[in-house]
Amino acid sequence: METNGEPDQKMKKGSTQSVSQWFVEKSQTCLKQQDDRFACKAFLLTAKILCPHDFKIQYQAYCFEKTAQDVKQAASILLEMFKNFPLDGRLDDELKAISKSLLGDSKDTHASFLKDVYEHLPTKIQREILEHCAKLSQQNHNDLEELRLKLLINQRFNKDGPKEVSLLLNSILDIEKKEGFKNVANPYRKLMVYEVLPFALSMNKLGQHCSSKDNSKWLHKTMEFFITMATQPHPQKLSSGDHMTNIVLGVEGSELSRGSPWVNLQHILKLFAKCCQWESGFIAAPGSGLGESWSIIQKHVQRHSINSREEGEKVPPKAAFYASLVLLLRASYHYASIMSPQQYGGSSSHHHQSHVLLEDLEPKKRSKKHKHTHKKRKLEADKETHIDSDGSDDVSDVILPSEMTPLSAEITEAFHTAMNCWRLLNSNDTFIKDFTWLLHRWKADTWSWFNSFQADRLFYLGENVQAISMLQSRLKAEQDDTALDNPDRMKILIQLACIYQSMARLADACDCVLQAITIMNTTYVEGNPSRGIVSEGSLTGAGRSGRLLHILSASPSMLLPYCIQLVLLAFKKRVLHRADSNDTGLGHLIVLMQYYWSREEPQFNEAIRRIRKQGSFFYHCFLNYVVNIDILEEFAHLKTEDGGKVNLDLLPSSSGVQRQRTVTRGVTRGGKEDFRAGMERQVMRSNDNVEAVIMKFLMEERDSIKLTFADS
Amino acid sequence: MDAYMEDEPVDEAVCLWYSDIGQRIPALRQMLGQMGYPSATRTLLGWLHSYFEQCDNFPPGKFPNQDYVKMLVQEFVFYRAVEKNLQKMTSIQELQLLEELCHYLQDNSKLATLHNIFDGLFGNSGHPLKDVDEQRRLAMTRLVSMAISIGCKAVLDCVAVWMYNQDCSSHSINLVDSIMTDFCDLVTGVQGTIQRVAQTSPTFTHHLLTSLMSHYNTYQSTSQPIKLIPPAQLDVITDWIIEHPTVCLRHALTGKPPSRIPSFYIHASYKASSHDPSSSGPVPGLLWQSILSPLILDANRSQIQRTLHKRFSLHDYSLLFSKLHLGILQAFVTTSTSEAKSTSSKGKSRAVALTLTDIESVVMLTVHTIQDNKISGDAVQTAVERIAQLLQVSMATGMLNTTKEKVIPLCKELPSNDLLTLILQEKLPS
Repeated sequence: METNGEPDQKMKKGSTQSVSQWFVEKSQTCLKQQDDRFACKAFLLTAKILCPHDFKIQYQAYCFEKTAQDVKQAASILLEMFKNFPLDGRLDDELKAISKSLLGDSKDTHASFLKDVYEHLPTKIQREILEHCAKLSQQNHNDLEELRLKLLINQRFNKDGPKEVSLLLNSILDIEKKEGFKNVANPYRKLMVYEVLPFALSMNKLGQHCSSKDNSKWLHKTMEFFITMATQPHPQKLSSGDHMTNIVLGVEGSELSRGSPWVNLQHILKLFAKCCQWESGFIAAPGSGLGESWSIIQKHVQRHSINSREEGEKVPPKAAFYASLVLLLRASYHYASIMSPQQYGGSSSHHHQSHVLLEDLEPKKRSKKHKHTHKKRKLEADKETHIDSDGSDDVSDVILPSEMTPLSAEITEAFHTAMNCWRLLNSNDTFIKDFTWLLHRWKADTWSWFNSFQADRLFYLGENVQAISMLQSRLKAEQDDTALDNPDRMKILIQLACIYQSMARLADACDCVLQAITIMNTTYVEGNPSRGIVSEGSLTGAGRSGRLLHILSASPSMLLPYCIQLVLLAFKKRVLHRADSNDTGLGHLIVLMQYYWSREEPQFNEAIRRIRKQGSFFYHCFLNYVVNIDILEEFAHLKTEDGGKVNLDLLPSSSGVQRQRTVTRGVTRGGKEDFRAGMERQVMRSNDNVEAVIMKFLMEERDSIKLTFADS
Repeated sequence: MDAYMEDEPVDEAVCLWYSDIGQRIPALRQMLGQMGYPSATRTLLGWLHSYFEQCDNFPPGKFPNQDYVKMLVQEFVFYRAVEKNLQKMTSIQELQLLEELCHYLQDNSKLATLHNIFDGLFGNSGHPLKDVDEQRRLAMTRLVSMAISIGCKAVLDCVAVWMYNQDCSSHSINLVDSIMTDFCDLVTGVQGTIQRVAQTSPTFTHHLLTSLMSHYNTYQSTSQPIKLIPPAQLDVITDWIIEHPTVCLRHALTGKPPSRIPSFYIHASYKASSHDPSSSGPVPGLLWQSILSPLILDANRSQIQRTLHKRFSLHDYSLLFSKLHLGILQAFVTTSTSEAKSTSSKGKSRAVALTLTDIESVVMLTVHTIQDNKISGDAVQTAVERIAQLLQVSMATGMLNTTKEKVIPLCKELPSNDLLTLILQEKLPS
């Protein structure tokens, strides 16, 4: 019990402050010492009546109700305080805490209590509190919070005020710009895309109140955001940890935070279409497949072109533009992610093998059959996957097509969908202008997945020059990037070689292949030579007739046969088809022919004829790389009387044997013995792995190989 | 009411207010007797309904043929044997009757008629209680219990008027005591039911509290100048007051009603007794409880401890009084704010809940109890602090119709206390 003296002294000071302090302490004593919350409240009630203008007493009473978790009482005291002390500032922290709980920033039981207190207040006060908090955020330069509070005010109290909402959207974009964010996945953009837009687009009158320029701007920003989210190499987890998405969203909003970015984008595109009264028929339901989405676009474009023929309007509507643009990006990203799953996440692909699109090097051999299927294909609309069913009985066929796998179906669907969309987007000037502008605006040339699709697109179309420049710029970009991805580099090099080859730029082609082989060599494991190229599926290329493009698995074991075939083809063109070839070239050709033995026998015979005609043949690498028994026999025969007694010099120039031979120059007998010993050794090696031998050859003789093409 | 009329075998309507009714009574009694329960009761209730509707045309309290009506009610509603040949009711039949009465009263929309019917069935002329026979008293207690259980506002409102007219008679006190004992102390698990009464019929709750206070605020001994409300009942009462602050101040809100509401038994000429607890409502009594409780609990600690139910500790019990005190203070504040709203528009006089006499008596009781007993300093300070809080809040809210100057001399005899000093020094808002 306190003595009477103490409060007397305080009261003598006559200060209300000390009186209120005395009451606050007294009430706390009741609570702590007597465990009597009623007495505590009775004291505070008395104090409030005694000093009605004292903030401290009422705040203490409020804190007391908060501790007691009494929502009703706390709300009524808060209401009174908000009315009595509006500009006090001492209430600000509490109001901020309430606004934070409403925004979902804090989620503990205390926050949910504050939320309940807020809900107990009259609507008018609720709004005033939020507006007050928005003002506070503005004073603290917390733009993001201010914007979110403004959104909350609109959501709660301004369900039919599109003007304010459009202002809000634009101010979000202004601040985003002002803050200079480089990443589109910044909090402002997220706020706009996940929260404001779903709410704004759900307003019926928004479309009438906003200019189409605003609408396009918002849509473009949304597209940019979701495309970035969908294609970033390390997808962020959006559903958890990110406070922006934890906020209480409307039904639409919460759907957005869960789905995949592409589905979300489609969803919001639908909302835009509805809001702007576009022909929403163009836009497939979120989650539709690629082919399905395209056929919906195609159907509506056709219908539109029939209808518009009478009206004289040719350009398909905006909805067609956006639907096909989104679909193009989605399909091409999907294509890129299957072709290079390691690099582009491959969210939907369940395999890790990367693939590469390459041209069939010997289409002539199948040209007859091709013309056939080509015609047939033209009838079959867009089913371009080519299955060469009778490859087994054609022994000369290098590329062995496998049955069309689900994977190749997925690849071709993605590729053709993207190609179709591309075509539609380039079908009229308006679309071209918008398309180019948007790609420029989004800096699409920095999207490597898109460039990868672009390269394949150009390659497919036979736009060799453009394809080369695209591939080279990708190579360059890869070089600039410290994290050089070797498999991808190898793919690009082989693709380049393939194009150079078709353009008869043999030196460039060989150069690229040899670079690719160098990369391949680092991971090369000697194995059973598959002796053939297995195609996962194929596309009939546009441009030159009879072009056939294969989707090959991009593993070294799969690509090596293709590379060998490519170099072999170059050698044939350089050595057999031209008279000025030297012995080294001819020797290299013979080494390479071993790989595709005995298919290459007729060509080999031609080479032998040429050697016989020359009467001599100098090839010092012979004993290093020739292990084929048929070829060895043929050469042994060449040396005999019957064979034409050709002067053969096949011993290594730098070996000990050669030095010995130099000493005994002119003594043919010793030379003969060397030759025979050498040949016998080679016969012993005839069971060697040809693939490994040729791999070695391509690695060791790269300079010499390049030299062969130096003048072409 | 058509349903009752259908059972009537006589073509001619029975009009109990007609002057010829005396001649028809034997025939009617015979007819009802033949019908037996429940048809006879239903028929009679039908007649009573039209009778009391008709009574609106007569001056209050001066209704025709009262004696015949009383007789028929006794005979054919309560089956009180006036003659030997009448059947007695079984307890199930009685229960059925009460339920039917509940519905019968609920279906009556006209308030005045409703009160008259209720008074006709259960009323008496106040002092003395000679007219109230034991059976009717029991029936009424059961009816009230049933009305509380099923939340029948019509019946409870009628009981409220009845209690008002009874003016805390022993009959009314007995009723309230038995209801509170039944619901709070005897039967467990029905606390929620009795708690809802404040919502269903605030008027009933108000008069119940008034009667209850006059039951408990009776002198016991020097250490117990009043009887404390038992904890289980106090628990319910504090909930009523905290949740519905106005239940203890209804009389202050509605303005002073006439001393009696005229009805079947009560004549307008009836004079109220000099001491009239109904007019001041339950507040003074409740304040006695809250202010004196720390002193009584301290002086009779061990004795009270023994009688306490397992549910409550002594601390719990004292907390309930603290809660009661807070409830009253809050009621003052709530009433004054709602009063301020209505006064500004209607220009009515301010509500008054307490008089200087009430303060004087509670201060005197406090002083005497402190003087006559050995009471701890803490308990004394708590009691005086409650007085101080009461003075501050009641004066500021206008619930106490007096000035501080008149209060100060009364408080001189109280032990000194910081809060009291502060309050009496402070310049109060006028």
